[in-house]
Amino acid sequence: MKKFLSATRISGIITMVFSAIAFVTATTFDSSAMLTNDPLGAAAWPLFLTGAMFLMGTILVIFGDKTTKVSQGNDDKSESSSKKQPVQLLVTIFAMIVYLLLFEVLGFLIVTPIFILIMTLYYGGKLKVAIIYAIVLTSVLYFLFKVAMGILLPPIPFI
Amino acid sequence: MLSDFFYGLTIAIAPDNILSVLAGVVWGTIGGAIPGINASIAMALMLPLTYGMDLNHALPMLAAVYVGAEYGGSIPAILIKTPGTSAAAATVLDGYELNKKGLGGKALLTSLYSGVIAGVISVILMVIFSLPLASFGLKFGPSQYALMGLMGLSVVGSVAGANAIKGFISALFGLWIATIGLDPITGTSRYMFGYYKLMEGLDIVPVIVGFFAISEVFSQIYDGYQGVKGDHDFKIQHLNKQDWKQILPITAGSGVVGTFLGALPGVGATISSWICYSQAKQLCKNNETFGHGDIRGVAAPEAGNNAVPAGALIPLLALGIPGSNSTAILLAGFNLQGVAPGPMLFSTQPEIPYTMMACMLVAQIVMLLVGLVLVRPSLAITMVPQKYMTTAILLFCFIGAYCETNDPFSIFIALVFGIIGFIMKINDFSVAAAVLGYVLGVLVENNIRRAMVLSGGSLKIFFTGGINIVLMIIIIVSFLFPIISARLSAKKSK
Repeated sequence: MKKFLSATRISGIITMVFSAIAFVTATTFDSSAMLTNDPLGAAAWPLFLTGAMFLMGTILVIFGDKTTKVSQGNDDKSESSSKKQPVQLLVTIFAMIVYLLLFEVLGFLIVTPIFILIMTLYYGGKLKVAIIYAIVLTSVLYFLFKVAMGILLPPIPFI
Repeated sequence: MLSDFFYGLTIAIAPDNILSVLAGVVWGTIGGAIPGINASIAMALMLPLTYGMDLNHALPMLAAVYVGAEYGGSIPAILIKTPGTSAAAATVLDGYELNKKGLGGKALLTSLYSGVIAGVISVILMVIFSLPLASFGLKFGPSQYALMGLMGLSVVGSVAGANAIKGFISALFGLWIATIGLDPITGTSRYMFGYYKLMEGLDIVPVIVGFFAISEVFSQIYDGYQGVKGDHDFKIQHLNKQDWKQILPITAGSGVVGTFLGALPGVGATISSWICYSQAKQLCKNNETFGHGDIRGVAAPEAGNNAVPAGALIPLLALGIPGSNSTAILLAGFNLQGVAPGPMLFSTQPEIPYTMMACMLVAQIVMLLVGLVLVRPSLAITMVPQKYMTTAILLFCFIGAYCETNDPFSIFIALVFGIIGFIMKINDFSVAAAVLGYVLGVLVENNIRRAMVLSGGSLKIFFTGGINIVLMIIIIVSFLFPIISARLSAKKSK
């Protein structure tokens, strides 16, 4: 069973599940809305795409690793085989979510240097350099986007 | 015609004119290099400044911004895998691979040279064929646009990676993403689940930035920063004779194709760069190195997208039709100066369109100089240690995604697609194929459906007329060629 459930087959199963859900959802699209002389309607294209995706997923499940070119696949794997850092990645994603949530609440000029400082320290930067880097990078971003390009960045509240 | 052009050239090379073109190119290059700021945004920001300017300075400056932005997008695409504009997304495939091998300088030079050469070719074509090309472009209807989109999709097999099936799933996924939002023909909501912010579909910048840049940052963190070399000693490997032999025909061909695609309303630089990449890969010998750091893979999309500005000016100048956001802003620039572009302009005030064309030529030369000055400072980016660079890239991606909508929801989309892209990568799915599908999705679906509306549901419309038949042949050859050539090379090796 373990041998049968290779990474390729699991990818195939996920593709099948995803495309089946998207296919069923597409069947609910109201094609008659507004324009009646559209022969294909709003649902046809998504139905075709998700149907084809389901078919491809099925091929992955049936043929498994036979669908992968051996030599190139091995090359790709060997390049990135050492020392995986899943915790560092999860912390980065978590920090990005927190940044996103606080972006409009605290404003760009508060939340950005804090994010830079914490992340730089977390990735192994030195405190003094990290502080200077946080100030410089925030200033560069502010100048480029807000001053030069006129983008409306969230202001600091109550100021 | 030629005398009008040379008269325009005398105006274009006046020192004050060159200065305004220089300002436009520099501004455009900076704007293009910042993720989220595309050519049209950079031009829109420049537009109010032209109000008080003379006609001969205002319009060339706006056009120069357009030229600069198309080149600028390739700089971060090559150095940090973050396309500054969506048109530079195809450049990422080989440009970033070259940078990983320590050939970032060479990739930047290839991008610059091919962009400038294609730009010059497009201006020459614009001068000679402006009026006939504009009217030929008008013959393109929905069926032709749909077939062109399919032509662009034919590259999927070759960007798929080790597993072709997973490559096709990725492309289908990209095409599927493009269906999210209100259906543009019937107004039906698709995959919105009642969330109104998805009404207009997913914005292109967050999706591309997420797929390419954020997913790459995640991969580097996950792999413990393995495998990025960079040009740490600042030695730039220049292009040798062999390199020039490789890129010149591709650049010339992509320049011609890009000019023609630019002249078609609604096509634009993004689609042009993918189609040129796709066709170059199909037509080149020893194309297995494409996607693994081949300068031809940088030259083709860069020539394709840098030829678009001049191409896009053709319907604007000749017919008064803006085919893209950027040319619409240029049209606004014309209106601010009290000039109405169109066929009458060529007969009543020919010096205006021909001066614009001459200024586009000057803009290419100025861009070459600006680009050469920028290559070495740009490479400084690769010297920044990863622990500092990671945060900077993430923030550029975030703010870049935020720019167009001023809505944190775009940042959320970029993050989601970063995670999806990362999961796809570690499972050998092709992020490039997904982006290709997403970029071409709307063009293909809308035009297939429009064609079907016109034909009353008959598929015959796709096989009728000379243009369609030629496009069909190209598509069939494009899809079959990789399979046939792979079989032939397998037979030979046996």
